[in-house]
Parts: sequence; structure tokens; C-alpha cells
Amino acid sequence: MNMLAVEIDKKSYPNGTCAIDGLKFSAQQGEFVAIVGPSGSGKTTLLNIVAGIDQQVEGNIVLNGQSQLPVASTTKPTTKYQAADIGFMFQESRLMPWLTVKQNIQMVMDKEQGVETPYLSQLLEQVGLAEFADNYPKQLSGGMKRRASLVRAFINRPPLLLMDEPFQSLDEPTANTLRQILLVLWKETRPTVLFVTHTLREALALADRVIFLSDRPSRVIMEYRVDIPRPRKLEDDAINDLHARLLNEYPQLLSGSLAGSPSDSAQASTETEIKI
Amino acid sequence: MLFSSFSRLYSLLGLLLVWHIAAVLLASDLLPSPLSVFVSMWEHLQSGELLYHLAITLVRVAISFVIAMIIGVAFGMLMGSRQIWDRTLDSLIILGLNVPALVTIILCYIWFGLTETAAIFAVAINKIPMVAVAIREGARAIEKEFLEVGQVYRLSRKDIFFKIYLPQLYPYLFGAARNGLALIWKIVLVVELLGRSDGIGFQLGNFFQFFDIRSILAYTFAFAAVIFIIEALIMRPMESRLNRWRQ
Repeated sequence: MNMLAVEIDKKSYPNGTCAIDGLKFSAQQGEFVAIVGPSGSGKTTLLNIVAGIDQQVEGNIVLNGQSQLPVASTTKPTTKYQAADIGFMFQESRLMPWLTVKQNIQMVMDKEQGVETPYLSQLLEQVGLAEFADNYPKQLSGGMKRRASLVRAFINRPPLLLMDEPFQSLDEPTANTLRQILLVLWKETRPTVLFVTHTLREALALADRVIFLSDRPSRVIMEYRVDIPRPRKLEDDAINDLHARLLNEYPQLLSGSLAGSPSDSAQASTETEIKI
Repeated sequence: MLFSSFSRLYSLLGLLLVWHIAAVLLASDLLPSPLSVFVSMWEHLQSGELLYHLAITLVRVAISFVIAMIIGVAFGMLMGSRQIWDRTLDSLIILGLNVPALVTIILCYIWFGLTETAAIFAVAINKIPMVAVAIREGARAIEKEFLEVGQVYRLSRKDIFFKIYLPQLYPYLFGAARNGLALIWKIVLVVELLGRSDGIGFQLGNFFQFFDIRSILAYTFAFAAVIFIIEALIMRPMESRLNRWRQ
């Protein structure tokens, strides 16, 4: 059975713009799914809907067989995810600046577990933040803040982890380290991951399956299963080959005004919004 | 820290020095020297009457402060987060901000009699709009993104309020509290002068009848000293504790 089934018939913004129109996909328990699409294609909106932040939507989100959205978008939401069902990594670290690293994580922890668990110390150790647990976010670098927010996302061992371009605007070595940490943590607890990115190469390096979204109004234009065995690296030949082959075979992925990645000389001439 | 405490002291000592020199040069009953004021303060203290009136005034300040803060904060939060409330209450707030304190005090005494309740009500009414305006600004500046974190991680409403919403309001709460204290004790004195038979305001009125400038200054400084102590022992330590993350 699918762990997560997303069926969004329609989602419009308050100004009337249609953001999502007939977007459907599902994910298996423990599957790492990357969602790739041009900027403004409603990827963040999609994650917000799945997370329950945005409930003004026609459609349904089914998590572990339980419907998560009210039947009609006008009725008040009733059932919600049980606490600790979701981990969320936002585009920014979104750590509360008035709380220390540790307090930020403890704030979202299941109350039954207590707040001083060995798992908290273990995670902080694993991401290299053990010494900085009592520091305030202001005292940390950008990469360290993302590490803290990665720990926050994993701390409740959520069955579903939503990640919204979590490593954007970091320098490449830092982003790479964080990707490796993410994969290690994912292997340990095996949550289902929805990883939104506009970098195809990142999607191929991380995911079991890549879902391609169209420009707004957003819908799924293609799904692709990545069969390259792990561990993978962004610059692996296999990733390079697959990357080139995909773009060659499915030129529709490049439709629209897609912007190229300046660091990628091979494709630098292709104007794409999906970074390639 | 130590240096800054001392520099506060230096400015006060400087003021005393200037005052003393001016008193000596003028040699007039209109400006008694600091020393004679402190002697007078000591006499009033010894008789017990200074402490009695000081305590009564402080209780009035405390009660009106708490009432004004609770009501003002509630209105401010409501207006900052709900546009409909903002629009509905805005004219009332503007009116409240601009009606002179003296008018509300007189009206309260006429309508409700020369009672303790009328006095406290008059003070609170004067302060509520200012607190509401300050807190409204804070509520408008609340970062929605942080609240979303609470929502995503299924925090209870109580946790979202106390751990995510309220900490963002602290600077505004402190601003309102500090200004509030300064303003409220000034208004309390007027209220006491006009319609009470005890408290520092009442006493100042009596001293005024007799042109007893020494006692007026003695009472004023005694009260200022209390405010200094509240600031140094409660407000400042609390503020620096809550603002630790900014350093």
C-alpha cells in the first residue's frame, strides 16, 4: 500500500491564479522522492498542502490510509496528522532566534519521549553540532543552521519528511556534506521523503524516483525511477550520463524558460529553469 | 557592566553637584540645597508618614499598571492580528490617546465619585491606548514563517503562543511596560492630588499649600528612588535575560 497519496484537483491563490491543476502522485513507505520543477511551479505550495499548513485546496492527501484534508475546502479542518508524523525542512533554517540549537529541537519533540533523549545527543553528534548545542542561531554559520534544522526534522523519527530546497544558497562543499548526512540519517530511520529541488542533478544523486512538474498550473509531466546504486555523488559519471540522457530524450523537461546552472559548463548554453 | 552602573551614578552625582552649587549661589528658600532635602526626607521617613503615603501610591501604581497592561496587551494583539478589530477599535484608540489625562480623571471622579475604583479606573483608561498601540505594532511584526514551524510540527496552541508568538512580542511588551510605569506614576499623583486623601500626590498638594518646597522635593526623590530600584532590580535584569540571544 502507498504510504502517501497526493491528489490535488485544484489549488488557487487568493488572487485567483491557478497554482496546481490535477496533480497526482504517490510514494511508498521509505521511498526517497525528488520533485523537480521550474521556479514558481508551485513546489512549495505542494509541500505546504501536504504538511497541512495550506488547507484551502480541492483534493485529498492520504497518509497511511487516513485522509488529511476536509472534504470541502470551505469546511473547517477537523482531523489532523498525529503529532510527530512529519518532519519539515524549509528553504531557510527557520530556527527560533531566541532559542538555542537544543531548545529549538526540544520545542518540537514528542512530550512523551521527554526532552533529554540519547537520540538527540546522537543526532547532534552525527551532524557535528554537539559542541554548539547551547549556541543561539545567530552564533552559527549558514551550514550549521541547516544542520540544526536537519536534526529538528529527524528528531521525532517521522514517517514522512518534507524538504523544500533545503540546501539552496549554500556553498557546494557544504551542500554536499549535508546531502551525505541526510542520506545517512534517511538510511537509519527510512522516512518517506519528498525532496523539492530545481536542480535535476541533485534530484538524481539523492532520489529513488524523480517527479517532474510542469510550469504553473502545476501537474506531473513525468516520473523517472533512478536505478543507479548508492552511494552516489553529484559528479559521478553515471549521474552525468543519466542527466545528459534524460535531457536528450525528454526535451519537454526543458520547455519554458529554464535557467542554466553557471557551474555546469556542459549545459551552460541551455537556458533552463531546472538547473542542470 | 560595572562601568555602566558607575557611569549612571556619575551623572546623578553631577546633577547633585550642580544643584548644590546653584542652591549656594542663589541662597533662596525657593531652591533648598540637596542636603536639606535629604534631612527633610529623613524626618518624613522617621515619622513614618513618607513610607505610608509611598506604599499607598505604589499600590495604586501597581494595580493600574497591571490592569492597563492586561487590557492594553489583549487589545493590541487583537488589533495587530485581526484587521476587522483594528478598523473597529482604531478610532477609539486615537480618541483615547488624545483626550487629556486631566479630563478623564475629572470625569471619572464626577461620574463614579471620589472613590478608589474611580481613581484606578481613570489611570488605567489613560494608559490602555498607549499599551494597545505598542503591542499592535508588535503583533503586526510577528513572523508568520515561525508560526508555520509550530503548525507543521503539531505544537499545541498553547505552545505556539508561549514559545513562538510571545517571544516575538517581548521587546514591545518591555517598551510598553517601561513607558507605562513612567507615565502611570505621574498620572497617579494627579489623581491623588485631585480626589484622594492619601498618597504622595495628596501630600504634595498639602505641601504646595504651604509652599514647603523642601518636603515636595523630599517626596519626589523618595519616589524616584523607588522607580530606580524597580528599574535596576526587575526591569533591566529581566530584559537582558530575555535579550541574551541578540548578543
